[in-house]
Amino acid sequence: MSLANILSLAGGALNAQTVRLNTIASNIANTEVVSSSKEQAFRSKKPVFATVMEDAQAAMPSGYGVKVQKITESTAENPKVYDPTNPVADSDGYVYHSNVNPLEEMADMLDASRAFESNLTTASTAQQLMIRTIDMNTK
Amino acid sequence: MSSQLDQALGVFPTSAIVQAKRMEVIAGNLANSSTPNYRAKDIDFKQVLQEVGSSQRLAVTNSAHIPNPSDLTQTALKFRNPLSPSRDNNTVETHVEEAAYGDAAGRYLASIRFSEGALSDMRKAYRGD
Repeated sequence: MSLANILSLAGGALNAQTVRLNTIASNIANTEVVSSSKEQAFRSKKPVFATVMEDAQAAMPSGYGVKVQKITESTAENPKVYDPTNPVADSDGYVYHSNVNPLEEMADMLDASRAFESNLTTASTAQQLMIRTIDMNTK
Repeated sequence: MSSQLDQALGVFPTSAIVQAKRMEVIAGNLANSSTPNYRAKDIDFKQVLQEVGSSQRLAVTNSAHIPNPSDLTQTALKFRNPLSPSRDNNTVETHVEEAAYGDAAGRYLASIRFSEGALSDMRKAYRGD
């Protein structure tokens, strides 16, 4: 039944947006992290979404869900700062900051939370209509 | 559709099925609002209704066979034209999809209500009160 499929579609989308919110939280938490080498320095992480056919066997695939395909790391340069008093500074006195851009993360977070809300509303409308359909002619 | 019940209900059960399908397609669009290269889809309700009226559908060879409603929506599934382009080729515009979802939900509810009216009329006729 179509209405029941909406619940699983929206559920999958909520899952994907939760992963996205999780990576954003982790990025923001690691904004101020410094490391002693470029390789160890924290890089901003971002999930990539892909469409998944819920019911590929059917003549017309009934729904197009979403899943997290992979999590990519930002390729932006990690800022190199001269800070010889820092305990993790390398032999030349440099530390490597994380390449997280907090402004970008905040904007991304707003988008993720809006998407989460809209999928939640979708599911709740579908659920109300299901109840209404089951209650047909009982009044 | 030949039975007395089907005749009394008219087009409303089909309409409810198609609108539910439409809600599902639009829910898929909303789920993919952040998926790169995803193209928003919708069901052309007008075309579905035309197909119901015409003989394009698979013939039902026995009166006891039930036509598959999902056949109806197969050819009417179309891509939506976005109002503005986006950098990742995603054509889902959340506000447009939310409005379309509300529209489909309203029409679904209307179909259910009309069917209910027809059913209660029939019940009255059978009871004779």
